[in-house]
Amino acid sequence: MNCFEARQAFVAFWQRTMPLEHRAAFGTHLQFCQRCNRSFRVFALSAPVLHSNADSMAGTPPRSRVIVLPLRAPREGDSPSFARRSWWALSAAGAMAAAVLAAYVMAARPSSAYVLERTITGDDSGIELTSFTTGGELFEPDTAAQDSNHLILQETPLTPRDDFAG
Amino acid sequence: MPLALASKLRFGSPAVRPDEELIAEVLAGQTAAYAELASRYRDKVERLCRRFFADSEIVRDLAQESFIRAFTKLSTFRAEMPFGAWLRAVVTNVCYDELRRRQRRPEDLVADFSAPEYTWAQLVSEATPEEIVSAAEQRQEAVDLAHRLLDSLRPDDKTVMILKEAENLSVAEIAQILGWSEAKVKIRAFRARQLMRKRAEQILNTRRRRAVR
Repeated sequence: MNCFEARQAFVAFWQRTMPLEHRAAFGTHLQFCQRCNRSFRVFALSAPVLHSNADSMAGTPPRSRVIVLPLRAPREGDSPSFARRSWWALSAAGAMAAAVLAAYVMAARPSSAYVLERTITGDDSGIELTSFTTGGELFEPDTAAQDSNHLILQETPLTPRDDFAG
Repeated sequence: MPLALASKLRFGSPAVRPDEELIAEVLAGQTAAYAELASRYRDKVERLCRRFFADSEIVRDLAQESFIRAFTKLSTFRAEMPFGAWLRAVVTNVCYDELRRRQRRPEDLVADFSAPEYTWAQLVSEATPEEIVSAAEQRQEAVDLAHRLLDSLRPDDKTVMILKEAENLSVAEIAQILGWSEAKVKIRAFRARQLMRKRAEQILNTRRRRAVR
């Protein structure tokens, strides 16, 4: 076995898919080739994640196996993660309701600062708007999700080679 | 016909419905069909998520997020592509987004191993190849250290590394999933390999330095 063949065989050796006689040759080569030996050790540090073929290698399985499904059929314009966003929407609605209530109270009982400002400017059109500025960031778009949305919409067929493709 | 095969044909489980049929049902409003679809791919989805993240909670959340995103985008699925390949692209993008959200400084990740990780690094440095493979099957710290090594890469590099090495995809397939040019994938893959080697050498040398002290 030469160096090229040995390096090609790292994965098969790790996954124990290599025939016994090849394993012996592989072991012998690594014993006498310092560069391949070192490369194998470097490979072995990442192999438990990159080349594991058994689920048990990856640690304890997730505790819950419940899949939460939306209760309606998907539509074209659906957000990529509307479950998460709906939670944000509820929070945002709550914050907005609180802001509206605060604005209402302020409008009903004007403070001295409010009266002073109104006296100076003669215009109170901006007063209510200031009550809503704190909730603005809740509605910022999820940029990371948007970046990758187009990736899901690929229409050209892939040619999968492993079992993930079913 | 062999007896075993005959009995299987007579009493075996009912015929497996194709993915496309289930997808059509989901799109027609029968959302219950999606549960069957999800159960078929749950293990594979979780396995791919585990390549990206070590934490079980994160893996569970990402698997769930992937299924939800796949559900909401199901109307964009085209039948000329296998559902599994399409779903893999969805999962990859969910994990990639999460990687970018959780981006950390590489130097924090390679330093300060736990004691079991240190022991594992020592074993990798000194044991025979056969011993390393046997030990890796029983040690969680081997997985932890491998994740630490992968976490030291940038999200782009890590994603390419996982798709190329673990999922065994071609450059063209990776480019298609991530929406990048093939040249970019090649550059990232080259760079990721170089960085991985550098970090791995760093880990092995750290062990040596400590041993000298």
